[in-house]
Amino acid sequence: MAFSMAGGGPSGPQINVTPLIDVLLTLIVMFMLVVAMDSEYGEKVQIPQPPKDQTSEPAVERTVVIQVVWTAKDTPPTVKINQEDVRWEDLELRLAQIYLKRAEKVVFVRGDADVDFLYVANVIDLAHHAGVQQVGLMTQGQQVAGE
Amino acid sequence: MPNQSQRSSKLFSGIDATAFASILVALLFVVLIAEGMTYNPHHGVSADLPKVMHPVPMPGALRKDVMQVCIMRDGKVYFGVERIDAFALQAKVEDRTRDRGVERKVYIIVDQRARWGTVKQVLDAVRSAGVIRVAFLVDQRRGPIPMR
Repeated sequence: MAFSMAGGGPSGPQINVTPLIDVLLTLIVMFMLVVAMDSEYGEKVQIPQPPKDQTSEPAVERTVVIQVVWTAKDTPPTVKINQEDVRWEDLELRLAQIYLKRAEKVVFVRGDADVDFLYVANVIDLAHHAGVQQVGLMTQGQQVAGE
Repeated sequence: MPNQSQRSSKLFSGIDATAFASILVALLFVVLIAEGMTYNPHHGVSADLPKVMHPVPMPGALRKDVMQVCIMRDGKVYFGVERIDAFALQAKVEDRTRDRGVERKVYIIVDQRARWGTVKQVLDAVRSAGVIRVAFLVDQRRGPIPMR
Protein backbone atom coordinates (compact mmCIF):
# COMPACT_ATOMS: atom_id res chain seq x y z
CA MET A 1 0.00 0.00 0.00
CA ALA A 2 3.07 2.23 -0.14
CA PHE A 3 2.85 5.25 -2.37
CA SER A 4 5.76 6.52 -4.38
CA MET A 5 7.00 9.93 -3.39
CA ALA A 6 9.07 10.37 -6.51
CA GLY A 7 8.84 13.41 -8.70
CA GLY A 8 9.06 15.98 -5.96
CA GLY A 9 12.17 17.53 -7.30
CA PRO A 10 14.72 18.74 -4.80
CA SER A 11 12.42 18.41 -1.81
CA GLY A 12 13.74 16.83 1.37
CA PRO A 13 12.70 13.56 3.01
CA GLN A 14 9.03 13.14 3.81
CA ILE A 15 7.25 11.22 6.53
CA ASN A 16 5.65 8.01 5.35
CA VAL A 17 2.07 8.38 6.55
CA THR A 18 0.86 5.07 5.17
CA PRO A 19 1.18 3.16 8.50
CA LEU A 20 -0.63 6.01 10.22
CA ILE A 21 -3.51 5.68 7.79
CA ASP A 22 -3.63 1.93 8.36
CA VAL A 23 -3.80 2.39 12.10
CA LEU A 24 -6.48 5.06 11.83
CA LEU A 25 -8.64 2.99 9.51
CA THR A 26 -8.37 0.02 11.87
CA LEU A 27 -9.27 2.20 14.85
CA ILE A 28 -12.33 3.64 13.13
CA VAL A 29 -13.59 0.24 12.00
CA MET A 30 -13.04 -1.32 15.44
CA PHE A 31 -14.71 1.58 17.21
CA MET A 32 -17.76 1.44 14.96
CA LEU A 33 -18.05 -2.33 15.41
CA VAL A 34 -17.79 -2.13 19.20
CA VAL A 35 -20.45 0.57 19.39
CA ALA A 36 -22.75 -1.34 17.03
CA MET A 37 -22.42 -4.57 19.01
CA ASP A 38 -22.94 -3.00 22.43
CA SER A 39 -26.56 -3.17 23.49
CA GLU A 40 -28.78 -3.09 26.53
CA TYR A 41 -30.39 -6.26 27.78
CA GLY A 42 -33.55 -6.59 29.76
CA GLU A 43 -36.67 -8.47 30.77
CA LYS A 44 -40.07 -7.48 29.39
CA VAL A 45 -42.95 -7.40 31.82
CA GLN A 46 -46.41 -5.92 32.04
CA ILE A 47 -48.35 -4.26 34.81
CA PRO A 48 -51.92 -5.56 34.64
CA GLN A 49 -54.59 -2.91 34.97
CA PRO A 50 -57.17 -3.60 37.68
CA PRO A 51 -60.62 -4.52 36.34
CA LYS A 52 -62.95 -1.51 36.21
CA ASP A 53 -65.90 -3.63 37.22
CA GLN A 54 -64.94 -6.15 39.87
CA THR A 55 -68.07 -8.26 39.40
CA SER A 56 -67.76 -8.63 35.65
CA GLU A 57 -64.41 -10.40 35.78
CA PRO A 58 -64.90 -14.13 35.20
CA ALA A 59 -63.00 -16.43 37.49
CA VAL A 60 -60.01 -17.99 35.80
CA GLU A 61 -59.10 -21.17 37.56
CA ARG A 62 -55.95 -21.81 35.61
CA THR A 63 -54.20 -18.61 36.64
CA VAL A 64 -50.61 -19.16 37.70
CA VAL A 65 -49.13 -16.88 40.33
CA ILE A 66 -45.52 -17.13 41.40
CA GLN A 67 -44.88 -15.76 44.86
CA VAL A 68 -41.48 -14.71 46.13
CA VAL A 69 -41.73 -14.89 49.89
CA TRP A 70 -39.31 -13.16 52.22
CA THR A 71 -37.88 -15.45 54.87
CA ALA A 72 -35.08 -13.76 56.78
CA LYS A 73 -32.40 -11.15 56.28
CA ASP A 74 -29.49 -12.27 54.09
CA THR A 75 -31.37 -15.47 53.30
CA PRO A 76 -32.74 -16.26 49.84
CA PRO A 77 -36.52 -16.00 49.74
CA THR A 78 -38.68 -19.00 49.07
CA VAL A 79 -40.71 -19.31 45.92
CA LYS A 80 -44.20 -20.68 45.48
CA ILE A 81 -46.35 -21.51 42.49
CA ASN A 82 -50.02 -21.08 43.45
CA GLN A 83 -49.22 -21.46 47.16
CA GLU A 84 -47.18 -24.59 46.51
CA ASP A 85 -43.56 -24.44 47.63
CA VAL A 86 -41.06 -24.98 44.84
CA ARG A 87 -37.30 -25.19 45.10
CA TRP A 88 -35.38 -22.56 43.13
CA GLU A 89 -33.62 -25.18 41.07
CA ASP A 90 -36.96 -26.78 40.13
CA LEU A 91 -38.78 -23.56 39.27
CA GLU A 92 -38.01 -23.45 35.55
CA LEU A 93 -38.77 -27.14 35.03
CA ARG A 94 -42.03 -26.86 36.96
CA LEU A 95 -43.13 -23.86 34.90
CA ALA A 96 -42.18 -25.63 31.69
CA GLN A 97 -44.38 -28.57 32.71
CA ILE A 98 -47.29 -26.29 33.53
CA TYR A 99 -47.13 -24.35 30.26
CA LEU A 100 -46.33 -27.28 28.02
CA LYS A 101 -49.95 -27.78 26.93
CA ARG A 102 -51.27 -24.30 27.52
CA ALA A 103 -52.04 -21.90 24.76
CA GLU A 104 -52.18 -18.88 27.04
CA LYS A 105 -48.70 -18.51 28.41
CA VAL A 106 -49.24 -15.88 31.08
CA VAL A 107 -47.91 -15.81 34.60
CA PHE A 108 -48.25 -13.34 37.43
CA VAL A 109 -45.45 -12.58 39.84
CA ARG A 110 -45.94 -11.27 43.35
CA GLY A 111 -43.19 -10.52 45.81
CA ASP A 112 -42.96 -9.46 49.41
CA ALA A 113 -41.88 -5.89 49.97
CA ASP A 114 -38.60 -6.84 51.69
CA VAL A 115 -37.42 -9.19 48.95
CA ASP A 116 -34.39 -8.04 46.98
CA PHE A 117 -35.11 -7.24 43.34
CA LEU A 118 -32.44 -9.74 42.29
CA TYR A 119 -34.72 -12.66 43.14
CA VAL A 120 -37.75 -11.24 41.36
CA ALA A 121 -35.61 -10.58 38.29
CA ASN A 122 -34.48 -14.20 38.32
CA VAL A 123 -38.07 -15.43 38.60
CA ILE A 124 -39.04 -13.31 35.57
CA ASP A 125 -36.04 -14.59 33.65
CA LEU A 126 -36.74 -18.25 34.45
CA ALA A 127 -40.41 -17.84 33.56
CA HIS A 128 -39.52 -16.40 30.16
CA HIS A 129 -37.07 -19.20 29.53
CA ALA A 130 -39.68 -21.77 30.53
CA GLY A 131 -41.92 -20.58 27.72
CA VAL A 132 -44.01 -17.90 29.39
CA GLN A 133 -44.73 -15.11 26.94
CA GLN A 134 -46.26 -12.53 29.24
CA VAL A 135 -45.24 -11.82 32.81
CA GLY A 136 -47.56 -9.63 34.83
CA LEU A 137 -46.32 -7.99 37.99
CA MET A 138 -48.70 -7.76 40.92
CA THR A 139 -48.23 -4.61 42.92
CA GLN A 140 -49.91 -3.22 46.02
CA GLY A 141 -52.71 -5.52 47.12
CA GLN A 142 -53.66 -6.68 43.65
CA GLN A 143 -55.47 -9.95 43.33
CA VAL A 144 -55.76 -12.10 40.25
CA ALA A 145 -59.09 -13.56 39.22
CA GLY A 146 -59.18 -17.23 40.03
CA GLU A 147 -56.32 -17.02 42.48
CA MET B 1 12.09 15.28 -28.02
CA PRO B 2 12.17 12.76 -25.11
CA ASN B 3 10.59 9.40 -25.64
CA GLN B 4 7.34 8.36 -23.91
CA SER B 5 8.93 6.33 -21.11
CA GLN B 6 11.33 9.08 -20.05
CA ARG B 7 8.60 11.69 -19.92
CA SER B 8 6.18 9.54 -17.91
CA SER B 9 8.78 8.72 -15.25
CA LYS B 10 9.59 12.36 -14.73
CA LEU B 11 5.98 13.46 -14.52
CA PHE B 12 4.91 10.71 -12.14
CA SER B 13 4.09 12.09 -8.75
CA GLY B 14 3.01 10.31 -5.60
CA ILE B 15 -0.41 10.73 -4.00
CA ASP B 16 -0.28 13.14 -1.11
CA ALA B 17 -1.43 10.83 1.64
CA THR B 18 -1.01 13.50 4.29
CA ALA B 19 -4.34 15.06 3.38
CA PHE B 20 -6.01 11.67 3.57
CA ALA B 21 -4.46 11.07 6.98
CA SER B 22 -5.67 14.45 8.18
CA ILE B 23 -9.22 13.66 7.12
CA LEU B 24 -9.05 10.30 8.88
CA VAL B 25 -7.78 11.88 12.08
CA ALA B 26 -10.56 14.47 11.93
CA LEU B 27 -13.13 11.72 11.25
CA LEU B 28 -11.87 9.66 14.19
CA PHE B 29 -12.21 12.62 16.55
CA VAL B 30 -15.67 13.45 15.24
CA VAL B 31 -16.84 9.86 15.79
CA LEU B 32 -15.26 9.69 19.24
CA ILE B 33 -16.76 12.98 20.39
CA ALA B 34 -20.18 12.32 18.86
CA GLU B 35 -20.44 8.87 20.42
CA GLY B 36 -19.16 10.15 23.74
CA MET B 37 -21.88 12.79 23.79
CA THR B 38 -24.76 10.62 22.69
CA TYR B 39 -24.02 7.09 23.89
CA ASN B 40 -24.95 7.27 27.53
CA PRO B 41 -27.40 4.47 28.21
CA HIS B 42 -27.97 5.13 31.88
CA HIS B 43 -28.08 8.91 31.57
CA GLY B 44 -25.60 9.46 34.35
CA VAL B 45 -27.35 7.29 36.94
CA SER B 46 -26.11 3.77 37.30
CA ALA B 47 -26.91 0.86 39.56
CA ASP B 48 -25.63 -2.61 40.23
CA LEU B 49 -27.85 -4.47 37.78
CA PRO B 50 -29.06 -7.98 38.53
CA LYS B 51 -27.46 -10.65 36.39
CA VAL B 52 -29.78 -13.16 34.75
CA MET B 53 -29.22 -16.01 32.35
CA HIS B 54 -31.55 -15.26 29.44
CA PRO B 55 -32.09 -11.54 28.91
CA VAL B 56 -33.22 -10.19 25.55
CA PRO B 57 -31.68 -7.23 23.70
CA MET B 58 -33.37 -3.92 24.35
CA PRO B 59 -32.29 -1.56 21.58
CA GLY B 60 -35.10 0.83 22.51
CA ALA B 61 -33.37 1.54 25.81
CA LEU B 62 -30.65 3.44 23.95
CA ARG B 63 -33.03 5.98 22.46
CA LYS B 64 -32.44 9.53 23.56
CA ASP B 65 -36.12 10.17 24.35
CA VAL B 66 -36.54 7.00 26.38
CA MET B 67 -38.51 7.06 29.63
CA GLN B 68 -36.04 5.64 32.09
CA VAL B 69 -36.47 5.22 35.82
CA CYS B 70 -33.61 4.22 38.08
CA ILE B 71 -34.14 2.76 41.55
CA MET B 72 -31.08 2.74 43.75
CA ARG B 73 -30.25 0.36 46.56
CA ASP B 74 -31.15 2.97 49.18
CA GLY B 75 -34.60 3.50 47.67
CA LYS B 76 -33.85 6.73 45.82
CA VAL B 77 -35.74 7.02 42.55
CA TYR B 78 -34.53 8.92 39.48
CA PHE B 79 -36.45 9.80 36.35
CA GLY B 80 -33.62 10.17 33.86
CA VAL B 81 -31.11 12.10 35.94
CA GLU B 82 -33.68 13.91 38.02
CA ARG B 83 -34.23 12.72 41.57
CA ILE B 84 -37.92 12.23 42.06
CA ASP B 85 -40.35 10.92 44.61
CA ALA B 86 -42.02 7.66 43.60
CA PHE B 87 -45.41 9.30 44.01
CA ALA B 88 -44.51 12.25 41.77
CA LEU B 89 -43.45 9.88 39.04
CA GLN B 90 -46.97 9.45 37.72
CA ALA B 91 -47.22 13.10 36.66
CA LYS B 92 -43.82 12.94 34.98
CA VAL B 93 -44.71 9.85 32.97
CA GLU B 94 -48.09 11.29 32.02
CA ASP B 95 -46.36 14.44 30.84
CA ARG B 96 -43.91 12.53 28.70
CA THR B 97 -46.52 10.24 27.17
CA ARG B 98 -48.39 13.25 25.80
CA ASP B 99 -45.64 13.37 23.20
CA ARG B 100 -46.77 10.98 20.45
CA GLY B 101 -43.21 10.21 19.43
CA VAL B 102 -42.22 8.79 22.78
CA GLU B 103 -42.37 5.02 23.15
CA ARG B 104 -45.11 4.10 25.63
CA LYS B 105 -42.81 1.88 27.59
CA VAL B 106 -40.81 2.58 30.71
CA TYR B 107 -37.34 1.15 31.11
CA ILE B 108 -36.49 0.58 34.75
CA ILE B 109 -32.99 0.19 36.09
CA VAL B 110 -33.15 -1.41 39.51
CA ASP B 111 -30.21 -2.13 41.77
CA GLN B 112 -30.21 -5.83 42.47
CA ARG B 113 -30.33 -5.16 46.21
CA ALA B 114 -33.19 -2.67 46.02
CA ARG B 115 -36.30 -3.66 47.91
CA TRP B 116 -39.20 -5.00 45.86
CA GLY B 117 -41.50 -2.73 47.88
CA THR B 118 -39.87 0.33 46.31
CA VAL B 119 -40.15 -1.21 42.86
CA LYS B 120 -43.85 -1.83 43.46
CA GLN B 121 -44.39 1.84 44.29
CA VAL B 122 -42.74 2.82 41.01
CA LEU B 123 -44.77 0.24 39.09
CA ASP B 124 -47.97 1.57 40.63
CA ALA B 125 -47.05 5.10 39.55
CA VAL B 126 -46.25 3.94 36.03
CA ARG B 127 -49.49 1.99 35.78
CA SER B 128 -51.49 4.93 37.10
CA ALA B 129 -49.97 7.01 34.32
CA GLY B 130 -51.49 4.60 31.82
CA VAL B 131 -48.34 2.73 30.82
CA ILE B 132 -48.47 -1.04 31.13
CA ARG B 133 -45.36 -2.03 29.22
CA VAL B 134 -42.25 -2.08 31.33
CA ALA B 135 -38.76 -3.48 30.87
CA PHE B 136 -36.20 -4.11 33.56
CA LEU B 137 -32.66 -3.60 32.35
CA VAL B 138 -30.36 -6.40 33.48
CA ASP B 139 -26.94 -7.82 32.81
CA GLN B 140 -26.17 -11.12 31.15
CA ARG B 141 -24.84 -13.70 33.58
CA ARG B 142 -22.63 -16.58 32.64
CA GLY B 143 -22.72 -18.97 35.56
CA PRO B 144 -24.99 -20.64 38.07
CA ILE B 145 -27.74 -18.84 39.95
CA PRO B 146 -26.31 -17.78 43.32
CA MET B 147 -29.34 -18.76 45.41
CA ARG B 148 -29.09 -22.39 44.43
